[in-house]
Amino acid sequence: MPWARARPLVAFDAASLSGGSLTRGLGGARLASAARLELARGALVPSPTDVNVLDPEAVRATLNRLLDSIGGSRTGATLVLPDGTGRGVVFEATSGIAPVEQARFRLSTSLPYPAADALVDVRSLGHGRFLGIAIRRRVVEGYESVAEAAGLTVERVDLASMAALEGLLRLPGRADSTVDVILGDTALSLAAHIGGSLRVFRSRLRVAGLDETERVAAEVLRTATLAGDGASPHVRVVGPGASAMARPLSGGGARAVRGGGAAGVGLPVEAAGIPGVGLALP
Amino acid sequence: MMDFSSRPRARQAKGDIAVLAIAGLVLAAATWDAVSARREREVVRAALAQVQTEVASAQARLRSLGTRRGGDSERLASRQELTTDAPPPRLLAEITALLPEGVRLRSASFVYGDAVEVALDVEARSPASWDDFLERLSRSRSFTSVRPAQEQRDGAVRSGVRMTWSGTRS
Repeated sequence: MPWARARPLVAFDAASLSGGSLTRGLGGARLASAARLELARGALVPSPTDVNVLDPEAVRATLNRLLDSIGGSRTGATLVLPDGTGRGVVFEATSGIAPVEQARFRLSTSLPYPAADALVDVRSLGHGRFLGIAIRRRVVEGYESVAEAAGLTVERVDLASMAALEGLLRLPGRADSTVDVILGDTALSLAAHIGGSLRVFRSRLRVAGLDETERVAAEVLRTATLAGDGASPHVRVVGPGASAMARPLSGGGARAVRGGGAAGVGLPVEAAGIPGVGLALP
Repeated sequence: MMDFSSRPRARQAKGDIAVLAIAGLVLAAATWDAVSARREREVVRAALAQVQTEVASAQARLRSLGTRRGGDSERLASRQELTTDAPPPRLLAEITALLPEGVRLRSASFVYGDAVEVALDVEARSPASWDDFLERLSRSRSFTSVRPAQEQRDGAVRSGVRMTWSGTRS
C-alpha cells in the first residue's frame, strides 16, 4: 500500500527518453507505470564536458508526451542521466577527510574539465571503500533546465550506471570474479567485483560496429584483470541491447548472463527499456 | 543513492533520521519522566500533608506546653510579687498589731503561692482574749478565710488559725 504520492522518474539517453511513476510503500518502491519514447536524432548527445541537450524544444516536447503517458505527479522528480556523462573511481578513504572531497581529489586528474566544475557524490562500498562519481555542473544544469521547462520539479539527479549498479549490488554476491556491463546508448560502464566486493569501475564510449562485442569482451577482461582476477569472469549485462550482447559475450569465452532486467524483478514489460531503473528497484 | 543536483535540496540523511530517532527517544524519556514526576509529586504532596498534620499537632502540643509553662511563670511572678508586697516581716507586723492583750503568738508560717497562706500557733490567756483575736482577724481587711483550729482549753486557750492574706497593698 503506497504511503506517498507517485513520483516521476525520467531517464535520458541519446536515442530515447524513458520514465516511470514510482510509488513507495511498505514493500519498498514500485514502478506504477512506465513508458519509452524515441527521441529525435541529435536532440541529445551524452557528453561529460558540454551541454548534452542540443535541441531543448524537441527534448521538452518528448518529455511532455512521456509524462502525459506515465501520468501522476510532476513534483519530486528523479532525473537519470545517461552513461557517458560521469566519471567514476573506486578508492579507499583515509580518515579525517570527507570521502566526497577525497573523491573530488582523486578524480581531478582524470576529469576533462576543472575539478571545481564537478558535482561529486560518493557511495559507500563498506570497509572504508567508496565509489566516487563526478558530473560536470553545466551538464546537469542542461538536463535540469529542460525538465523544469516541462513542468517537473526536480528532487534528485542520478546517473544511469549508478542506478543500475545499485540494483546489481543488491543481488547476491558471487565468490568468484564478476564483471557487470551496464549499457547506455552511447557509452557503457564496467564494474568488476571480487567476492561480491566492487573493486573497479570504468566508463567507455560505445562504438557501433560489427566488432563492438569483441571490444566489449576485451574491456571486460581488462576490467577483471584490473580488479585482480582476469580469468574467466562471470559477466552480467544490463541495459538496452543487453540480450543481443550477452549471447556473443558468452560465446567468446566469458560466461554471460542477462543480469536483472525488468522481468527479473517483476516490473512491467515496458520497464525493460528504462536504463538501469529496473535494477535500481528493490 | 547518489544525487548530482546542481541545487541539491536538504536530503533526509541517515544522520537526520538518527537524530530524529534520538529526539523521539528523548521525547519518550521526557514523557516518562513527566509522568514519574507527576506521580512523585502526588507522593510528596501526601507526605507533605502528613508532615503538615504532624507539625500542626506538634504546634498544638507546643502551645499547650507553652501555656503550662506560662502558668508556672505567672505563678512564679505572682509569688515574687507577693514576696515583694507582703514580706514576712510586714505580715508578722500586721498580725502582731491585731493581737489583743493576753494573746501570744507562738509561731507563724507563711506559704507563698497564688496567695499567701498564713498559719499561726497562738496561746491566749483566756477564751475571751482568743475570741477577741479571732474577731480582730475577721474584721481585718488584710486577711480572709480565717479558719481557727481545734482549741485546747485548760484555763488558757491554745489553738491555731489559718488564713489568707487578702493582698491589700500597703
